[in-house]
Amino acid sequence: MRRSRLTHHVSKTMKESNPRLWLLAGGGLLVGLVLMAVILIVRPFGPPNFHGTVFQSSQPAQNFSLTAHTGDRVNLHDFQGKVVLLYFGYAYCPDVCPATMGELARAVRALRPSQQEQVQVIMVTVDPERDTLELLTDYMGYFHPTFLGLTGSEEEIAAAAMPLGIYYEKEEGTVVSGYLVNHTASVLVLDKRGYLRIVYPFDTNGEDIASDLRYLIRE
Amino acid sequence: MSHSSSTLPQPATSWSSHISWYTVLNVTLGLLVTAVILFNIFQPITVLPRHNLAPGFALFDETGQPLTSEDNRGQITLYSFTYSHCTGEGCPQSAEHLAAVHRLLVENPPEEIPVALVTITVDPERDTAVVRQAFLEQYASQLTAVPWHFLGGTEERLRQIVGGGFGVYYRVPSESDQDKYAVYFEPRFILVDGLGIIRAEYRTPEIDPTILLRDVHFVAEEARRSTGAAKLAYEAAHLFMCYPR
Repeated sequence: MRRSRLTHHVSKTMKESNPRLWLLAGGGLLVGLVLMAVILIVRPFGPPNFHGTVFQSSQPAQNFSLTAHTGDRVNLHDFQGKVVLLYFGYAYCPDVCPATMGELARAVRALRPSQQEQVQVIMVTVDPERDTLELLTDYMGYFHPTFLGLTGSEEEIAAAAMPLGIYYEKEEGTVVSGYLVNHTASVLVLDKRGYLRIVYPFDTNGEDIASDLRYLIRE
Repeated sequence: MSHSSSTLPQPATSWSSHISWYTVLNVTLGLLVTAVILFNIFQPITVLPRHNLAPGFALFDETGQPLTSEDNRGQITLYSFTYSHCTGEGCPQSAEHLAAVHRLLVENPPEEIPVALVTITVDPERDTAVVRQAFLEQYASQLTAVPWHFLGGTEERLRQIVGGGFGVYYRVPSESDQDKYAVYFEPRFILVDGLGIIRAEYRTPEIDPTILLRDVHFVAEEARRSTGAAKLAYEAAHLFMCYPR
């Protein structure tokens, strides 16, 4: 009697095991899907995974005043309300500057028009001697119509670059076409309040920059 | 016995029926929140805040060779400020203390990451390259793995870099008594990482060796280990402000 009850029980569980296995597998899948859904839902609200070095600045970046390629006088603080991408380069720059400016143009083009309006790319020249307003206008035009080129006196540019960790120096008579200017090739990102938030090293991908910009625009 | 055999299949059915979307969501969120709170409480990783960028500069070292902020990229640099004629009572920071700091770094170098001591003069008129070199020969006792540079430059450039860039106030008396004048400056040590970012500032004439070594160690640890998955943990530490106390 006892044995028959036991075999009866075993056969019963064996018959039932099939649907239970399905249930377990289904449950596992469900948990997986829910986890994925939670991650997807929470991610845009969570902390961003920026692609450069992130800063915890305690005050806005130091203001500077320079002349735009349009001839207008501009202050860095005028751009508060926009996310600012700041780069120091020059038009005669053979390789690093055009590559960086190209990536910045790619980043901006990857955004929706309404987002593009909230971003300002600025290149401050480190070669005011050769970068005239006309040349800067042409140079900016190669990359994006909204890009702004800034210039000024030697002192004004030094005062803008130095506090942002930008070093630059002329290197005389190295190529036939004239002198080169060695300079720090990082791209600085200021948020809408004018605080330094991210520094990108040279060769940061435009798509990666765009994804960071989307987050900073939403803030 | 009969009791057990009759209840054996029971828990399985009740277990599966109790699992609902709601529970799964709660457990997942609970685990996430717990992980965040635990990270925040125990702070398994300590980092130094990324305050600001160190100024970009081009100055001259004690041999008269140009030395720029870019040359210090990739190494931890401790900046300090003084002048060669700084002696006695009126001197805000003794040369002996700078020498002690240098010795401290020589004896306790961080693993794998190079470190350097860079002193910038606040007295460009008297501190020529020759004078600066003599200063180092007197105080930097041995040529070692930890370089010690003493930088100088034009008065205008130093005012920009030391005063404007590093934010160190100094005052050279305008009516100087020939060769015997004292320069006032705020004693300051500034710790800059390999990316040119200011990670710590010490506004003190004498730096606490334990605190300095601890901070150098934290910056070196981060530079060494913050890659791949560990980089995410380090960024989380920055986000949660896991700073040393």
